[in-house]
Amino acid sequence: MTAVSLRRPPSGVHADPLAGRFLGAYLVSLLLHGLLLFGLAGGWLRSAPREDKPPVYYVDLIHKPVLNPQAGRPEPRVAAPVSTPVAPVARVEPKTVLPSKSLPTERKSAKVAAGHVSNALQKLRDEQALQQKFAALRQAQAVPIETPVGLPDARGNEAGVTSLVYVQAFIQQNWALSPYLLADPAKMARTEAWVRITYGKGGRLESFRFEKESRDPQFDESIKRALAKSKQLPSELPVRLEDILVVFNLKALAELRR
Amino acid sequence: MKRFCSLLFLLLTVCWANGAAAAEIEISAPGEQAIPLALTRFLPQTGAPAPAVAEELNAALAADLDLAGLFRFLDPQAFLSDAGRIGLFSTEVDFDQWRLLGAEVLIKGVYSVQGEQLTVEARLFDVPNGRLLTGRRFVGRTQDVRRIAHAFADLILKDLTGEAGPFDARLAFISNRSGHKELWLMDVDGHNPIRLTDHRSIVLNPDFSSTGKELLFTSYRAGNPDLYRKEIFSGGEARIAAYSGLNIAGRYAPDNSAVAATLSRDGDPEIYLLGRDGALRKRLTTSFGIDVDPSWSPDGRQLAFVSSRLGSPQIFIIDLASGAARRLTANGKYDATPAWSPKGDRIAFTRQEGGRFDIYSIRPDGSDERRLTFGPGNLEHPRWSPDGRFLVYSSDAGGKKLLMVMRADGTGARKVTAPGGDASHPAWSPVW
Repeated sequence: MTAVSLRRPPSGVHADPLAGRFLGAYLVSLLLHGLLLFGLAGGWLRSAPREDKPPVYYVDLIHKPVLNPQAGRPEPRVAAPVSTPVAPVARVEPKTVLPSKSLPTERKSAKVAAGHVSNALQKLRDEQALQQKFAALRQAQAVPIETPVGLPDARGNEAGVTSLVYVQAFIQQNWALSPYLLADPAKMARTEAWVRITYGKGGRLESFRFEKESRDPQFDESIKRALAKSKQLPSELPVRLEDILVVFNLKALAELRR
Repeated sequence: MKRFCSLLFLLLTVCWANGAAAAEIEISAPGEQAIPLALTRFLPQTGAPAPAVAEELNAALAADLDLAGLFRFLDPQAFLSDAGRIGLFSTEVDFDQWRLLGAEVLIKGVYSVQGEQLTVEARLFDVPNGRLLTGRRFVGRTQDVRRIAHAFADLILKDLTGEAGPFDARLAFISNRSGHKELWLMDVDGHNPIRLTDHRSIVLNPDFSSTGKELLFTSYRAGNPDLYRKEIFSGGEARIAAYSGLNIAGRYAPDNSAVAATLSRDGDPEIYLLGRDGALRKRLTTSFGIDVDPSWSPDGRQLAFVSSRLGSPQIFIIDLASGAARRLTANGKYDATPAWSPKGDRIAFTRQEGGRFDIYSIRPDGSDERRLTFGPGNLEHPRWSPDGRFLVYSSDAGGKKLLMVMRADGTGARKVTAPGGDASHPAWSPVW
């Protein structure tokens, strides 16, 4: 409505003097309201108490491993010790307290209390001795960890090693082959077989087929036995592993026996 | 546009190939270098139980398989109920029990004794796949129980490795248990020794023919070290070489067509080629210094021997066709008694170092020399088993000479001689 009235009247139409006055009053009112608002806001802002907020340090414990999250944090300011004169404590003479009539009961209860205290002390000593033994045992059995723990790029939701490495370790663990079993131990380093395997998501070995057999039937037989033993993984896989190529050879063993 | 599309296709192909290559696992060593084996106790099938028979069967079989080095024996204490059940067929075996124990191969068997006759049925099963690998029925006398066990051990090695074991064979050796150094024969595990000669003199250096039915040896029976040939089964014996001087270290050619021996008829000990009847065919070496201890290559074309032509005794190889000799060992000061393996891949020999002999092996091309033994005592006269898996040798550790056997890589050494007298100069027969 205001916008319409602010519009300049189209040419050829006569201007209304009443409307001009209304516009002036409107503008003045707007200005005054604005000034009032500014004044109020300024006063309020000035009167608002200012606080020195302590700096906030965000430590991303999820995405990055932090060895010492408090590292780099400024030391809290310690107020300088105020040297106020301390009044000397007035010496109080000990007063002689006369024994009350209920002395035997009190003595008895004191004895009981002393017994409780000595028991408690003994218990405390035993507990301390036990704790010392535990500490000594822990120290004796502690394995020093010198390697860094965790993965630098880990997100915290890792299930450990990758599925392939897991499957590799499992099959290798089940693969038993004596070097004396080979037809020609001299060719140990060159003996190799390729097998395509498929593991379902449930960890079941669904299929395997030899893509390349070694020329040593005993070697191939040992692989078949290993795969028969590996037909069920101890746990499920996050994804189905389809047509994984497993290369069986004896390079590491040959290197070891060289 | 077409070029862009082909480039895109190429990139996608490369990416797919990379992705495919990533799904690959390499397993470059087995998790275990021995096959988990469950050896169950042989059970009586019919008739009265004969615990001694079962005990001896199991003991002999276990000793052979242990020497083979292929297996890790599972503790019989851990066996479950299936070990107490007769199972000659795969349908009768509860493989789940054995899988639970981690066994990969399983041996089961039964026996029956009827009078003097012993019948043994033995089986080898593949546990992960639940199938029968091999089995056999053995019939013999009760005193053949060890031989039955050796034969089954050979069969197991045959099935698992493709090559039969050497356990159902004999060792010829020299022993003085009768008061003189005579030729003896015994099982590979030291049982059932039999004396073959009664020369009441000194007998040395036995060697089997490739058929295993004949033996060559040297005897001082006639006062001179002469070469003799003996038929084992008939006991027939003939002196085939009685040339003046030494007639020692006779070795049958692999095809039994000839004999290589050391003769000193011309003054210097040299290697000669003789016929099976001892007729002189050819002098093979003509060098200054001794040439002794010939050993045939499996193809019969070369001989390894000991020569001092360059000063100290060293191993040399001579090519029979050309007569050219080459030095094989160069690292020792005193190398002796070469023995060419039946597979031809290595030559075992002894080397004296620090006043003691130890056994070494080397490839025929002079490479990959390996020390196999580290004492104690003098370890000498190595000879190969017919399959080339084992070496038998003599040892004087502890003051008494005895025979030892070990794997070809020097592991698993153990005594094989039965008590009584010294034993030396072994030779391993072919499998009978």
